[in-house]
Amino acid sequence: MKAVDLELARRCQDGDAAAFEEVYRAHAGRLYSLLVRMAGSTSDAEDLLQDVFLHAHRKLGSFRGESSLGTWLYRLAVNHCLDVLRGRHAKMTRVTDSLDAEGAAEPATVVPAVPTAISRLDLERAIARLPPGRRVAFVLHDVEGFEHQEVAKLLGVSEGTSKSQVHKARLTLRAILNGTGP
Amino acid sequence: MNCGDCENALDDYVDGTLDERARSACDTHLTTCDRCRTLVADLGALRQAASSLEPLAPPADVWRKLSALVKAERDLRPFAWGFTWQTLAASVVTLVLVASLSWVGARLATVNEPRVQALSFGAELDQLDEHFSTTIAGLESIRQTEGVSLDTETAEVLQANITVIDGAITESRAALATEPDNQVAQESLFEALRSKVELLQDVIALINEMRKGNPEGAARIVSGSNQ
Repeated sequence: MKAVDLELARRCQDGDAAAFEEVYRAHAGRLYSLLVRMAGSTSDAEDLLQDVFLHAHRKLGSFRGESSLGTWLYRLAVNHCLDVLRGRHAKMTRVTDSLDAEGAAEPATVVPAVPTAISRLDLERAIARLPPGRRVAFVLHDVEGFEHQEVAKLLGVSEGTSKSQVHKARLTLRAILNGTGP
Repeated sequence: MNCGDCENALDDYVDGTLDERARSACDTHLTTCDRCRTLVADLGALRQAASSLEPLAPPADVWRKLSALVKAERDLRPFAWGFTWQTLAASVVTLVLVASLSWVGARLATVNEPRVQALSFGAELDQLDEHFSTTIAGLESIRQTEGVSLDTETAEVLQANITVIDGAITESRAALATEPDNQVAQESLFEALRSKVELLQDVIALINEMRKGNPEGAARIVSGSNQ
């Protein structure tokens, strides 16, 4: 797998347009899904996806095959998205710091239950409505399947902060989905 | 275990990371507490739905734009990035000098054109803006000095086009003054600057052809400018 990735990266570096398109077709869907959910907007995600692949094209020479090309691109996408989100919240040093300013998690009071079958569209919309810090932590943990330790490392926060963010995100999503949310 | 204890253990319970003893205590509490049971069921359903979200497909337009940008960058190689833009900008400035001094040779438009679409990093933009502005000032000077060679109608059309482009430049700069990282404004600014350089290059070439008494050459330039 890595040898194939290295060969693909080398062809891209040599200016092989077909090779670059192959890389894009193989990974754009996963990265776009990640970026839409992290950024909370399809138009932002389109710009981010373009930036990520443009940046990747410039940096493919530094790809050493220590991880798969997909993992390498994934990290590039996560980091770029976080950079952009941090830029938007320039007054805060970390995306997740913004959570503290957003207030505490909604208490788990008695509320109507969420629908038994949560529609994909409703959930996507609800995720987009989350504050950025909660959204990023939730997407990385609950959607993308990272452990809290990994989320914490990616975000540059403590594991406890990651858990707190995901907890707040879940309660906020629950409130949005049962119609009592912000 | 009471509701508070259960709530504290809620996320680990839903994630399946709670140890056996605590999980058993939670289960016992859930058999007697409707509120906590509902909460656990909701978050469990949410967790399940989130992990089952399907991939989304990016619009085809993203690839079209991306491939055009990559092609533009590839065409600029083998130069390194920072050097490339300085070189291109310097090339345009040099052309102004050549045009000013000789009035001979091929059209200025045949030189390398700056690939403005590929710009995305702010540090180089100010420098390139400055180079473009210097180039435009040089070309404007030549146009105003030699523009008498143009007939009135052509001169009016030219001025109208320049006014439109100048408006775009002014708007883009105003947008960048408040949002320096706005990529759309960056691209708009350099697209407008590039358009103006191209237009002025064509005008100078047109004046040159007319001075040489070559109406066919002038017509070709006008035709190319209108495309």
